[in-house]
Amino acid sequence: MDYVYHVLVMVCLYAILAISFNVVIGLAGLFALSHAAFYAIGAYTTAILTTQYGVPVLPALVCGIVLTGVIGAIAALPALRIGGHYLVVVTLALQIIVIDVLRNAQGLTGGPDGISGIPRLTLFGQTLSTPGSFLVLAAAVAAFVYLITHMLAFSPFGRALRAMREDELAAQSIGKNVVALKLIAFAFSAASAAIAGSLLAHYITFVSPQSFSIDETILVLAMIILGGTGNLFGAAAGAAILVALPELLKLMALPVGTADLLRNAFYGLMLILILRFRPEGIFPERYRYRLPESAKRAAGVLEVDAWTRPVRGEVTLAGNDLHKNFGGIVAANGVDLELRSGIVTGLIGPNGAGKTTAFNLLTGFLTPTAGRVSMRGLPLADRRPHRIVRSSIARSFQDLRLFKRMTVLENVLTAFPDQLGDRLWNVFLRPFAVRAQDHANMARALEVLDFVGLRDRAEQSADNLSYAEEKLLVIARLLATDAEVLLLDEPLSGLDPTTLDQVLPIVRRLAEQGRTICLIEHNLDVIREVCDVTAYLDGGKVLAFGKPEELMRDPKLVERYIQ
Amino acid sequence: MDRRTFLRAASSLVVVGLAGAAPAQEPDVYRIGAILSMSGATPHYGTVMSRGALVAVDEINAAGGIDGRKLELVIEDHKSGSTQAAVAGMNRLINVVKTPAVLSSFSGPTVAIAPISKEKQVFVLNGGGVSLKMIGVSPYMFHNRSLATDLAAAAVRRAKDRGFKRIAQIAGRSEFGDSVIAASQEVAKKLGMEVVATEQFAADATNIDTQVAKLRAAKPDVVLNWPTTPQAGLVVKRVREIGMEQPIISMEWTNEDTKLAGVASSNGVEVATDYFAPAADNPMGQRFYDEYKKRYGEEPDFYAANYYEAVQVIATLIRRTKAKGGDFWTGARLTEALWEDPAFDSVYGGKMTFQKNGVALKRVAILKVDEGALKLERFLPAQAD
Repeated sequence: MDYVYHVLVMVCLYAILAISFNVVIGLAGLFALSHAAFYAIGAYTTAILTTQYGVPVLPALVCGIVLTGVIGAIAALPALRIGGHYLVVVTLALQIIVIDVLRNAQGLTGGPDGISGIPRLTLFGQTLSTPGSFLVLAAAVAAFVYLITHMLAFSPFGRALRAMREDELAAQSIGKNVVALKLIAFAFSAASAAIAGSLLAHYITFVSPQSFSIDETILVLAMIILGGTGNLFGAAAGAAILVALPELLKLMALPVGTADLLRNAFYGLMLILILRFRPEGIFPERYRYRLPESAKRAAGVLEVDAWTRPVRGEVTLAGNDLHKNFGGIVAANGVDLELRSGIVTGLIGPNGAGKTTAFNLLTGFLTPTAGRVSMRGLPLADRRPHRIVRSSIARSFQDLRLFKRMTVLENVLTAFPDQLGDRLWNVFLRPFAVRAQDHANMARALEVLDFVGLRDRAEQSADNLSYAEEKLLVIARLLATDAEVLLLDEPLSGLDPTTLDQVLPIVRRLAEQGRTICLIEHNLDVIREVCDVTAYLDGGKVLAFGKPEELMRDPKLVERYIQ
Repeated sequence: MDRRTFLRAASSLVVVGLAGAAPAQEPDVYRIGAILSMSGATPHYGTVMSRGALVAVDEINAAGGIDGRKLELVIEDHKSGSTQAAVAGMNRLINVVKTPAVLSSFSGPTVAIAPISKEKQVFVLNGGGVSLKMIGVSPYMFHNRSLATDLAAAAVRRAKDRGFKRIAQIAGRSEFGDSVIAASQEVAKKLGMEVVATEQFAADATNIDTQVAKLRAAKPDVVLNWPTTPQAGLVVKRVREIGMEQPIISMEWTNEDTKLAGVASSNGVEVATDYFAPAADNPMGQRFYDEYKKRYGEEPDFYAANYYEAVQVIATLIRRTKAKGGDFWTGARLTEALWEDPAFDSVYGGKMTFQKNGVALKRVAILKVDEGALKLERFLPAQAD
């Protein structure tokens, strides 16, 4: 029996590792390869504290978890600046460094020989010396980690992580602090891995560098890919399969000597077959979840007009003498632009004129080489994009940047400002308040979707939408930010006349409420119909500013642009 | 697959696992477990170790087994050192295979299974790992590979045989270095030799000139060189460069050391180490060598030899306990029988004797570096001191 119990203990420990790794890989979309390093730090911290410093087991466990969480957050620092292949390389380096330190810091870690004689855990006066007794604890801890990770994944925080995974710029544009998201995701994941490491240390009573090699990271990664990236139950199932399968394969009678190599080959073959037929894993990510009925019932009609600002025509967002150089290329060469409340401003100009650069400068996605951006007279210098959104300025992107592997509703839901559940401590400490607010937000999101005509698409995945619907969803997401200033980068290009008829009134109506609207557009008919004023950009500066009809009569502009 | 089907399938797997743990039976075969490195980064070790053990099993079975009952080797894989895999294998050997005797390998896996060996009274014989961490962790755990401290003692004996009186020794500053120095000092004292210099350097040192200069100042007859690769080579390089021409005896020497020290400086360095070679005065070793080479087409190394020897030890112990009767096929009884007479025939020739710490004292080979290659100089008898 101890054998089966031992296998189940290992299933529990690997489930903890796979679930926690899935937070970084599956939810946050950060391809980091240092999970076994965190597993090791957790194991070694408790091993060193209990054997060399006589610290009791429980405080040693807590120290291991906290320390690993901090190291995890530090490890996230490179992830703030780099992504993709570079993050893989950097985290791989961390993994190798940690193992090298364990091998060579003889005095502290025992070097290649490891640390033995780690005390066993005692629970309610009973020493957990058998696999059977340890299994109870391991299963309870695995269930606990599953529960808190589940809470995280299905909270607004988890939604923000997934939004970041889908599109980092878009997540910033709706006010998500991606720096904090990455740090917390790494720290949470690392601390959970440390739990598994500490349990392992007290279970085997011995740790050595061998147990935490890069192979372990890859094994846990395989569990996630097999079970389903982004699906926590899938990760746990992947752990169960990859731990139990080799043991079950031992039931196959094979020639001694080559048996284990053959089993490995068979094991690999089975993984290939599973992934051939279930490429997204056995349990694909479940983002198409049902809307609660209460939210559907609570959803009324969007009270757009409730927003109305009394004053029209005052300057809100302004850029003065904005310069931006990329090396020798001058993308903005003294852009002056003042946007006013209740006014729709159109930006026109040839390709490469600096229209999108102007948007990026105004919204903090680019820092100007020189010049000043202000909102109602207050400077916005050096603010990061997500902070600028909180100053009530939101923008859309020419290439839409929707959160594709999220539902239409979630795309809108993520964009609401000041969500309680954006802060992780609220998710755990005030779960009911977070849930109540989220349900209220769902109702509001439905109203927003209703307003743009996408209500019946709410529960569908965003990558199922038509192009026109995607454009509508962009507007819905922008509306959800509740920002006063809305900057739309080519929101209408490529739309058919029917959809245009649907969208243009929405834009007009938003302006009538007193919002400040600025849009980049090439279609002059649209400009004429929807814009109050138009700025003509060329060569990185505003060459002309005035009513659309006036600009279009200017023979110089007609010659340079319109013809 | 939905979640429910998965859970159903998973639970049936558990049932299969449980069914594997069938109730105990009287041994109609003696199943001996082995936890070896069958896959992973270094499957070579598992291959040669299992081959050595299988040659012994087949040899014993061909001669009628143990009173007509055969031996069988059940191999578990620790995947080149995974402690988790070793513990899984150990539990499986105990619960499913129901064996009281297990061969283990690698230091980490051996330390990891020690608590189980102790608690379940399972006889464990390790012929591969060399870490001092394996000593004193389970009363049922034994080792038939020489420990570093025993090799050091052999090197001192070799120095005595060559007529040297004044010893200088150098080692890394580590638990390993400390224990080797202590062991050699003890033997030197017993043999009436004088240790004129003992120097240690940091584990990762690349500059050891101060230490080497002190060795030279002590004017020894011989330099005992305790570090492992690559610092064994570094010591030889610096000792020769500083103009010392005294003989050097090392405990480890690899191609990397020769590369570091240079072929000319390496010539004549002696190495006291585990090494297996057949010899005319050693019929057991010759028999093993011939059979192994016939079967696998290559010469057995000392790892293969150690596991051949280990199976022979266990067979001897079973014969002893069976003669006494009772519930004889248990780890406790095998251990008891070992202590009744801790001397066994060694595949290296002569007898090997298990010391109080559970480690067997056996013949140690003295190799000599000759133009970069290691040549067997001679075997030192197991018990000269």
